[in-house]
Amino acid sequence: MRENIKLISGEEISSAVAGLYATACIGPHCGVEERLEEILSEEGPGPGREALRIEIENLKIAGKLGLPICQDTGTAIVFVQLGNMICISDSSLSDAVNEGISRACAEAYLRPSQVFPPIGARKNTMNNTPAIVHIDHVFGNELKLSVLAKGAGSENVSRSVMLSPLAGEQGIAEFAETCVRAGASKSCPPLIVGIGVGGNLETSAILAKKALFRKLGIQSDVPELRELELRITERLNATGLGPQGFGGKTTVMETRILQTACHMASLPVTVSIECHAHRTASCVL
Amino acid sequence: MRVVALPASQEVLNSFRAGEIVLLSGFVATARDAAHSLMLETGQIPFNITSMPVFYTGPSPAPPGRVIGSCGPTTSARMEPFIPELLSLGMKIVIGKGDMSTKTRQLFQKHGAVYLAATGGAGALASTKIKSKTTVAWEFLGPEAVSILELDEFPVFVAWDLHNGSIYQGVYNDTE
Repeated sequence: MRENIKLISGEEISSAVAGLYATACIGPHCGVEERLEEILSEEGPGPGREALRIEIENLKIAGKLGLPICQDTGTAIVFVQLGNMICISDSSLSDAVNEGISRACAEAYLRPSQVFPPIGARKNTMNNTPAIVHIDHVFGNELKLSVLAKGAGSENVSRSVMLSPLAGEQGIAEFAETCVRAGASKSCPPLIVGIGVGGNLETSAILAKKALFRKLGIQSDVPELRELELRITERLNATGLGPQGFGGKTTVMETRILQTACHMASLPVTVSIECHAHRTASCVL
Repeated sequence: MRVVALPASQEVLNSFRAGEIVLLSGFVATARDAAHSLMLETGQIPFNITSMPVFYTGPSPAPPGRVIGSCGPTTSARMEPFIPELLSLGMKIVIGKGDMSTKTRQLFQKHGAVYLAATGGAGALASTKIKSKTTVAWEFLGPEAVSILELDEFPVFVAWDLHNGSIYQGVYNDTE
């Protein structure tokens, strides 16, 4: 048993996180550009279509010049799947992650956006730490790191709600539409909409965020949720808000739902809005 | 697409139509949350507000050999509390992203001011349309410092024109 334990140094984690965060912010990206091209081919004439063209050209320029896709290189959100046989030898996991974020911020010229304290002085920490770290403890001897650079434009229009338990699908779809109608023009569509259902206040929010890490074009493995995801996407696109909120067919690229059990008196729901740039990267150590 | 030289005359602003793309060339000033708060607190506006558009942005740091990093717009609605006073001081053009309230739109109309939307999330492309950057105030704010940028055919969409037109027709929910 003891020989199965895998030692990983803090430096290995920092170095991996720094690379993932810079890649997420600058590119290249798996699939986003191709997806936007598909959406462009279906979009009618008008400012929404022109905005899509600019979004696509921007992704190309960012990669070519090594510049961040968006000046808001976000809050760094790091989801970690930590195998039970992993031993981090010389650092705490969060210290190692923060060292990686700070390094990427300096070396890849990313924008420091974190301020402290949040009330009052709001002084910039100047290295974009602290990151927000979520850890899932799993069986095995692998450590999986997934990084999302989450801009404030889309985060600020995300919402949680405690619905009546019997509000069901209808209640969830209505809430998603309320969030998208109020926030689309501020959150840089075409959006990805992550929905966390169940648990309590904080678990629904974490599930909604986790849903944003699913690969583009992959639907839920739960048949009922797959249907619901498609119905909600259709409903959100029927608003006609369009790219950048300038009008058009595609306001939302995808809806993704994750669920867990909840109290019989509750139906906690969080809608996490993600912008078109969708800056994620992951690796396994 | 037409190129508009800054500062733009009232006649040019009157000719803008919602949904149209214009390419801006000339000087603009950057300011976002912290800078707006300081401007109103100190009564000091570190640029000529009657001739320069206010661009809501906080650029990323310039890599070696570049004038500026990524430089797209931030959400304009957060600056709404500061807008009435700046319009009364002669602000004529705002560059940002996202819809704002009907009340603010009416104020823009009253002051003959226009609201232009840059493409949110397209900061790398925006960076290639900026010729120079000079920080003029509150450098300690980091990315929120006030800078003067020289734009070179910088693409923006006319969001609110002076003929009651809005690119966000029916998007904003005033009850929110």
